[in-house]
Parts: sequence; structure tokens; C-alpha cells
Amino acid sequence: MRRLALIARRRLAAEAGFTLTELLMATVIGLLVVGTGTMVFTAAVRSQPGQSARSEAIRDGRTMTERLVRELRQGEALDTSAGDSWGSQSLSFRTFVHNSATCASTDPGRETALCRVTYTCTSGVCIRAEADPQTGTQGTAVQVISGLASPAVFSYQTDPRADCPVPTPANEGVSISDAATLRNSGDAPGRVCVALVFTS
Amino acid sequence: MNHRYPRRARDIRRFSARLRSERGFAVPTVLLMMLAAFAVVSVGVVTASNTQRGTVRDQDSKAAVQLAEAGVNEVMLRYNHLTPAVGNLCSPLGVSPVNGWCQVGPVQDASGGTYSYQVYVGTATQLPEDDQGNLELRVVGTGAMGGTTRRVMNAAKSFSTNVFGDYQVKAGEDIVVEGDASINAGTAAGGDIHLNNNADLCGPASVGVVHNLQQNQNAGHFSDTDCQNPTTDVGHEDISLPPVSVPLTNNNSRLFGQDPVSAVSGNNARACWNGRNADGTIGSCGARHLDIGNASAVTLGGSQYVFCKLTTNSNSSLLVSGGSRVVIYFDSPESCGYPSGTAQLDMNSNSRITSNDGTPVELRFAGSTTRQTILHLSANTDADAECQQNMIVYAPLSDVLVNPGSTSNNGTTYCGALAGKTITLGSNAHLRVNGDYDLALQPTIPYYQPDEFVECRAAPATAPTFDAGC
Repeated sequence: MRRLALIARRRLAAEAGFTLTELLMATVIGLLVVGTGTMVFTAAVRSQPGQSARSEAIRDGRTMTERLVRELRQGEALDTSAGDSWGSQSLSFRTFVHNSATCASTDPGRETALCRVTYTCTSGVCIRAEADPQTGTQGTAVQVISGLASPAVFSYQTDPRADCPVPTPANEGVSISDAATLRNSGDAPGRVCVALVFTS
Repeated sequence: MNHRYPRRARDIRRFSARLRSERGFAVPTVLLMMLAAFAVVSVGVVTASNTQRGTVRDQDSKAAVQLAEAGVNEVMLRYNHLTPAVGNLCSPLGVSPVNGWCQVGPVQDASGGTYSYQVYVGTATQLPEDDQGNLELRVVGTGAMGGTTRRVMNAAKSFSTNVFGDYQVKAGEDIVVEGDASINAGTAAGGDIHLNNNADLCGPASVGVVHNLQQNQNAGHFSDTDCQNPTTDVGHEDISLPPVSVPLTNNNSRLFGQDPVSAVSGNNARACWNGRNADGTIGSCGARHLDIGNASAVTLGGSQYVFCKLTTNSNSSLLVSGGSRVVIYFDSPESCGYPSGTAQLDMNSNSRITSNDGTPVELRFAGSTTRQTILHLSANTDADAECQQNMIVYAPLSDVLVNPGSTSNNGTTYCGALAGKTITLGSNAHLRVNGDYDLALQPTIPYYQPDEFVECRAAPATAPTFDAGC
């Protein structure tokens, strides 16, 4: 130990120190590095809420889109005489729903029941409601997405081979789009396109 | 070993010297900057990785659904072409039932995923039926891609007896009505309908999705079969014409023993079947070819025949005993050894195919997707006379040509129902519906179509309830 302390003291004594130029240069470089880091950090902190909100929106959008597309895949042909309706901001159709509290399955052995599902989008928010097509019993409407820049979410196409419209989000905006052919529509399969555009 | 310590000591001295000689902040500064850059890049990589993981999962999920549906489609393809064997309702899949289910897979797909499927055939000797008496196959398909699994269930049903329920003239592709020809029946085409000069289409009409009803000069379209109410309404829908499955049993052996041949206007009974004439001499017709000579008539007493070709020469007749419907199947050109472009039905002038009491005769053509087959219909009957042809022609893979006449009174008049790949009515030809008789096809080998599609819980189920969670 004593020998090590002796070596360290000798080395410190041998240190000639920094020149003024070195110190000035080091200070300038250090300030630049710290300043840049501070700016990056500040910008990151400032954009954090927006990033989180956007990430949450994408997650919710993915969840809603996957659920909606799955319901569309199991959907019956859209038919106004059966009570179906469709527009850019709302969609009401008959589909099979798992373990529905509102719609009762006609087959006791089945988990799925034919149900009327209605999506309505206004003021950046979409709600989903179930109703029993046989009894008319209405379920509780539930909000499934928020933060939409446009309430125009749905478009119906009688030709399932036609392209879906491409959403155009505003600057730095995020959009999620998908489509599904109504599998239970027999010889006249239609397709519903879904486009969620979020505020930037 | 002895040289290691001096070398290490030398390395330490060299490193210490380098440290001592370092007088600026170059190394620490660069190290810090590299660290900062690494941190920034790491955050970006992690964020991109998370996003990518979600995207991959979405893609896998869609691929898994597609694989599950591939299994369902494979089941229907097999059951629509192969008849289940007696005692093994799973035979079209090459397996045997266990607790009423046929199980296949998992099968490796070229996309890298796997799929498997189960079909419920019940424990009885016949396939299960739904409430309306339609045969039903409950198919559960499971697809797996990456770490994602999806299950779907489809109740496939056979509706093959209702082909002419909505329209009585159907073509998978185009229908062409030449000048002065007419159709008095519900008409549907998977492609376009062309009405040439002075042609009339009287009855509801439908064309394929993104197709049109094209009317030339003075052509008319009416909503009723009496051609009274002009209309511009045209439906748009795809046409589904199930293929014909040829049965293994038939009454061919009755020709010419129990099924008699007679001369109707002085000619000898010149009819040929399967290479032999009715009088026992060697004929010029080929295998399973019924060739009825001029002014001869053949009367069919059986109920089911399987031909390769039918030729009715001038003034000849193919008659059916009244009281029961006769179905004549026409085998595929591959089975008959025919080249592409062969006419499997060739009716010449004033020939007739009809029953004694007007019950329609069914002609079903298996056809081929690779070899063209043609049907020539010609009668030259009086357009204003009673229907002299009472036939249901069902040829989903064949081109049907209804021959023209020179005037409106000598074109072909055809009564019954007609389905073909394409249908062309020559000038002055006429198609009518005979509403007095049932135009539904008689029950035949079932053709299954998807009817009820649902997605199930992803967790795979096991026997005896493979459809659990659906």
C-alpha cells in the first residue's frame, strides 16, 4: 500500500498540467456537447406526451381495426331490407359475435351468435353497439377509439376486387387502414374498407 | 510460459506511457459522443423493433387466417369431386372417421406456415343434413404462421338442385343474342349480355360484377317474359354453376334391347350406339355415342344414361317415356378421348328431344376446363308453335350454340332451361321457359359451397368437439 501511494504521489507530482489553450478548447467542446445534449433531452421531453399519445392511438387503432375486420369477415351481405346501413361515418351490419351478452345463439353448442353490430364515428370518436337482430334487444354502446382526425372511416364496395381508398393523414399524422370481404354474403360478396386517420 | 510476464509488464508500461502522454480531451470527448450516439441509436432501434414486431404479428395473423381458409377450401374441393365410399364418409380426404370427425394435418404450406382441418361427417351412414334437408359439411380449419394461430369454421352446404331457381338461362361468361333472336326467360350471365339488332330479352336480367347489358340498334329489354314492359334494370352478380359429377351407374345397357328404335317416316331404323347399329351390324359411331339417323326415333325407358356424344340427324327424335324424368350425362372429353372443340351434342334440322308427356329431359355435360366442348342446338320448329324441345341443358363448362334460321319462323325454338359456359343465340333463334314443368335439377352428386363462416377461438380444440369455441 505504501508503495502504491508513493507511485501515485510521484505521478501527480510529475503532471505538468493543462495549458490555457487546452482548457479553453476543452471548455468550448464540453459546452457544445452539453448544450447539444440538453437540447436533445429537452426536445425529447417535450415530444414525449405526443409520442405516447400517438403510440397509444396506434395500439388502440390496431386493436379496433383487427376486431372490426374480424367481424366484417364473418359478416352477412349488407342489405337495407334486413336493417343494414352503411355510410362513411357509420356501419350497421349482421355478423357473428363471440360470447355476446346481448345476442343469444340459436344453437346452444355454439359460442358465436348472429348479432347486429353498429359502429358510429363522430367528433373523432367511434362507438360500437350490439343489438339482437331477432329480439331487437340493445346492448350498451362502448367507445372503441378516439383521437381521429376524420370521422369518415368506412367505405363499402360491391366489387371486392376494387382497390380501397388510400387515407391521407395530415403532416406527421398516422393512419391505419384495412379491408375485409364479407364471407357470408353468398354469390354477391361485398367488401368494407376501414381507414383510421389520427390527429398529428 | 517464462516469457509471458515480461511481455505483460512491457504492455502495461506502454499503456501507462500513452496515458501520460495524452494531454487533451480527445479520447474522453469522443468516447462520450460515441456513448451518446449509441444511446440515441438504441432508442430508435428499440422503437422500430417494437413497431416491426406489431406489424409482423399483424401479417402472421392474416396469413394464419388464409391458411385456415385454405384447409376449408381443400375439403370442399375434394368432396365436390369425390364421392364418399360406402362405410367411410372420410374417404375423399384419404382418412377414416374418428368419433364422427375426419382429421387431416398439420400440412406444411409453401409460405412457411402450416394448416390442418377437421370435417364433421357424423356417425350415421349418410352425411348430416341441415333443417332444410341440405347436406352439410362442418369444416374447422386451423392455420399457423410464426407464433400466431387462427381457427375458422365453415358450414358448407349442397344447394345443387336450385340452379334455375332465379334465372332459367345462365352462362358463366357471356351471352350473345344475335339479330332478331329472343329470350323469354330470366337471363343471367357472369360476363356481358350482348343484344344485337332487333334482338329481344324478355324477363329479368343480370350481368356479372363490372359487366354490362349491351344493346345494339332496336334491341329491346323487357321486365316480363311477354315483352310488354320495357326496362333498363339490370342486376349485377357473379354466377355460380357447380360442376357436373358423372355417376358410376347407368342404364346404358338398355340400348338397344329394352330401349326400342323405330322408323317414323319410312326409313329403316338407322341408329347407332357404342359402335353397333340397332340391327346388330357394325356402325360408324364411337364408344358411348348415340347417333340417331334420319327419320328414326329412339325411346329411352331407363332413368339415367352416361353418353359421350349424342347426334340427332334430320327429322329424328329422342323420346322419353312419360311419367318420369330421364337424366343423360355426358362424360368429360378426357374420359371420352375427344380433342378440344368436339361437339358432344349435335342436333340437326327438325330433330327433337322430348318426352311423351312434356316432362323435361335433363342433359348434363361434365365438360372440361382444358378442352373445349360444344353443344349445337337446332330444330327449325315454328316459332309460334308449341314447344317441341322440352329439355334442361346444364353444361357449365361447354359453349352452347343455338343455331340460326333464315327467317323468324324457322329459327330454333328451344323450351326449358339452359346453362352453359357461354351461350350464343343465332339469328331468329328463340329461347322460352316452359313454366308448366319443374325446372329444378334432380338430386345428383352434391356440390358444396361455403355457407356460414365464423372465426373460432385460436386455442385448438380436440375430439370429439373440434368446433368448440366457434
